[in-house]
Amino acid sequence: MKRMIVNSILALCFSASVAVAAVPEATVGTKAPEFSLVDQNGATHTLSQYAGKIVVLEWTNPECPFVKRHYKAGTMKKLEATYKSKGVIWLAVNSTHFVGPEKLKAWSTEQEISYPLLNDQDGTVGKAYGAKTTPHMFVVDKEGKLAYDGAIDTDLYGDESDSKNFVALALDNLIAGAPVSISSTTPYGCSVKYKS
Amino acid sequence: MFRLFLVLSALLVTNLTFAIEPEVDPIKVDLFVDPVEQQSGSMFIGAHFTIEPNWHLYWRYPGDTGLPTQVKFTLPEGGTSGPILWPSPVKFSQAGGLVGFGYEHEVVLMSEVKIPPGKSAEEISIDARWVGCSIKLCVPGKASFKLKGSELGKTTTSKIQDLSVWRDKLPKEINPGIALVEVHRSPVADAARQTFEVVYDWKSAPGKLEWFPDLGRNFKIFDTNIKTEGQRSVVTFSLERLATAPADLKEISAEVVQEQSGKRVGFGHKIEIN
Repeated sequence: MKRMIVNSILALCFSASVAVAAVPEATVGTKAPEFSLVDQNGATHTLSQYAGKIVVLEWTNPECPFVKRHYKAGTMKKLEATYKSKGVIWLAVNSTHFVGPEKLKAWSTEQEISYPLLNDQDGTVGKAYGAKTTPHMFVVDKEGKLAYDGAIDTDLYGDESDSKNFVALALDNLIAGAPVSISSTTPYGCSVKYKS
Repeated sequence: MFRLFLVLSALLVTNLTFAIEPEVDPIKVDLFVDPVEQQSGSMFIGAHFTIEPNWHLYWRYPGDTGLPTQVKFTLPEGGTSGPILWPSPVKFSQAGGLVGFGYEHEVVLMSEVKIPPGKSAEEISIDARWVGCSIKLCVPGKASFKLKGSELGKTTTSKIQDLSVWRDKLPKEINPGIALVEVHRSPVADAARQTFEVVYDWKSAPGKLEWFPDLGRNFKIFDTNIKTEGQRSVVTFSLERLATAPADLKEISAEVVQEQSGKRVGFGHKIEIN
């Protein structure tokens, strides 16, 4: 009992000394973390299998209103369709601990999602990338380095008529062989519902 | 003076946004105005948010996730509104090491509104929008209010019993009578990161300390740490300036909150950046 109390006090002291927890995360310009995840159809995907291609990683959660809004507007699906023909690979990733393979399969059918929807239910890959919100977007360049980390666009509340899409901008830059002009922004949306 | 409040009914209140109907409605909003101040053409008007247990909404800088709560005024010609007065936030830690700043249970976000002589309060409208989150779900919401002149001057019972309680929750500007603040900063290093050390020399030993940066959408913050020894507190952190930050942005604000006799007292100040 005494030990429990001491441990509790130590835990409280530690938590009181840290205002903003440091989340270990991938950094733009460095090698993107490797992963091996299974999609809604049971196929396994690794980042390394897409070496030499530009890869978009979209953190998602079918139950998040921000995600629902973007899917209703077709934001992700239109972008994926636009850049697929330019050789870009689009992978959605779920790190929501209470959303399992069945839910992902049902959601991909309902939304007619043609790209892989990867299950990271234990949150390992999400934490390695530092995914904070749904949506939270990452773009990996042809060399396997993280080239963009942040929001999908500037339209936080879904009412901007002239919003800027940061992922499209990053993809256009990379396809043109240019440096990504805006490589990091603040993502917005629901918090990723990681397992505690 | 501030014990009685007029709760003005809304002509229009909605909790829908994004064209997605929320399955739950964890945040309720009502509107208030201070009737005494209003008689002089200047009044404090605000939104009173009631938050279901285990839910929260966000401060002006929400932390890792969420969105800032917004309260906006539309005023008659010549009318002015001051800045939104934000009570000191609390921190909520979420799974995955994600940190949010905001409010639980209830909060009042108010502003001083001035209406020129001859103009009617009926011309004032208020729009609020927010994201409420629990450990499992986030629900965006919004509400629009238009003041009803016919109800001005009446006194009704509000959920807000005493505005002074909410005034006490507003941060004060830190001054040498409270603490001396010194900021040390490194030159901008790789990836445009700059390391800061903010030293607070308190006039008397502080209670439990919390620290809240306000970064807008202009910076990423890393490795924040707070240490207090005796009357000195030191906050260290690193900032990465984002490409979307305005070029002329030269400072951020921060709020340090300490517990005094069981009461949280916030102090705000600016931090210069390169």
